[in-house]
Amino acid sequence: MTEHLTDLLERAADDAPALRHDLVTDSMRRGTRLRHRRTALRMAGTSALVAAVVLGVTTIPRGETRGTGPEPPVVTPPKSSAPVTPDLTGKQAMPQVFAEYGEISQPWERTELETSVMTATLTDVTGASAGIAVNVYTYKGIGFPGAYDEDPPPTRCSDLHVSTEPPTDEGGLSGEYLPGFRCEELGNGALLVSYRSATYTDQRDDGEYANVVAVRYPDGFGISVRSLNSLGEKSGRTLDRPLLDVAQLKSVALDPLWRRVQLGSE
Amino acid sequence: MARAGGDVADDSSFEQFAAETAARLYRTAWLLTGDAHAAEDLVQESLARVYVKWRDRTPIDNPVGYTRTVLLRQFISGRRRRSSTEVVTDRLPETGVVTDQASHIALRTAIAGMAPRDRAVLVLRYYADRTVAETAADLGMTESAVRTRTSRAVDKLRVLLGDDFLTTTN
Repeated sequence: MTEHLTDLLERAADDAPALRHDLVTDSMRRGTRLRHRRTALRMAGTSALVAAVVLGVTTIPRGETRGTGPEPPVVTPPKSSAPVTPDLTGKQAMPQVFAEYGEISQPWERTELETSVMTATLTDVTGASAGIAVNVYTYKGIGFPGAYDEDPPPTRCSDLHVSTEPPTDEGGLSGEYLPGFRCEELGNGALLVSYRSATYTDQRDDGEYANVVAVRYPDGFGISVRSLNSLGEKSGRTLDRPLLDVAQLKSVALDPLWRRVQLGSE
Repeated sequence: MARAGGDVADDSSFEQFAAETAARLYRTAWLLTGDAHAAEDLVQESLARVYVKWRDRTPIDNPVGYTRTVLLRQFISGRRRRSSTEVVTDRLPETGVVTDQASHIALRTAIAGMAPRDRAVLVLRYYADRTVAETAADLGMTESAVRTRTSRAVDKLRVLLGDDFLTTTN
């Protein structure tokens, strides 16, 4: 059976209609878009943060110590249908949103097509400083953690493909490896996920990582917030753990002010 | 095959790799999907994801196998999402086909009526010539599950295509 079926499949496959597109060129274009979007979603501007210098230590005593601050207020996610006029730069928004947890310094922002990537140094009440990164976006594309694609966009936690265990073989089928992954359905199709993102996955690993919270709304608006235990990605661990824990990052991510950030256009 | 993960400017090596593998991937996708458009989309998306890794210099020891795994993963994932709206045909091909072309159509129709994972197992085992262990690794299944699905898929082919299928096709 094996031999014959193999032969038959080979011949049947040869009946496939001729290719109508240049798959090589098209896949490279598509890959470039994927890469661009993924990069934008993750921390960009490493150099900006690596060079970050703590300018002053003005403390705002809310988050008292790293990871043990008070429970953040419950923030109602903005209604995705409510029109909001963008009137802030990311640099203007960051100090306002993070004010509860410390002082922002070295703000940096880059806007691209339908996205704004922001980084800064956050200094908390104890004087500890570490990098934060925010990406706000409205495009519809791949980028949400665990979403293979966004057609249709993920609206339920079960739409995501995530493994909290390391892959055992190349690729595998268990989903994107995101340690500590948690997913919440916020209602109306909005999703909030949190996980831990290691900077290195090889022998260079020095324990540098980020706590990450990402929210995606059904209208395509999304936000990703990262809190590092270093001044910048791949700049070397300086703290035992990131400055903000998941609960604090959730409060940040759900702040309606992000809707007012002006995004880049083509 | 060149190892992936060269210089950032190493687009040419990816182009060469993709050019060498696209046709075979397309035929694999076509067997899986039974639709040329869907097959092209599947290959494009799979190669695009490999391209991302290529540009990231992520080492891929076996780019061909890895791309095939990505393709199968995309196929199964996509079919799972569409399963609620999927229309499963209950039309069976006529048995006792004697011409090669007719047998191809019958075979493709039979495959189209299978569950996505059964299709993937069948194509990997008998078209990609993967072993049970390799197929299990590719699809994230146990070897036992691969054997079960293989047996089920082949039995289904026998039922749909007739017991004399093998002799009439040779």
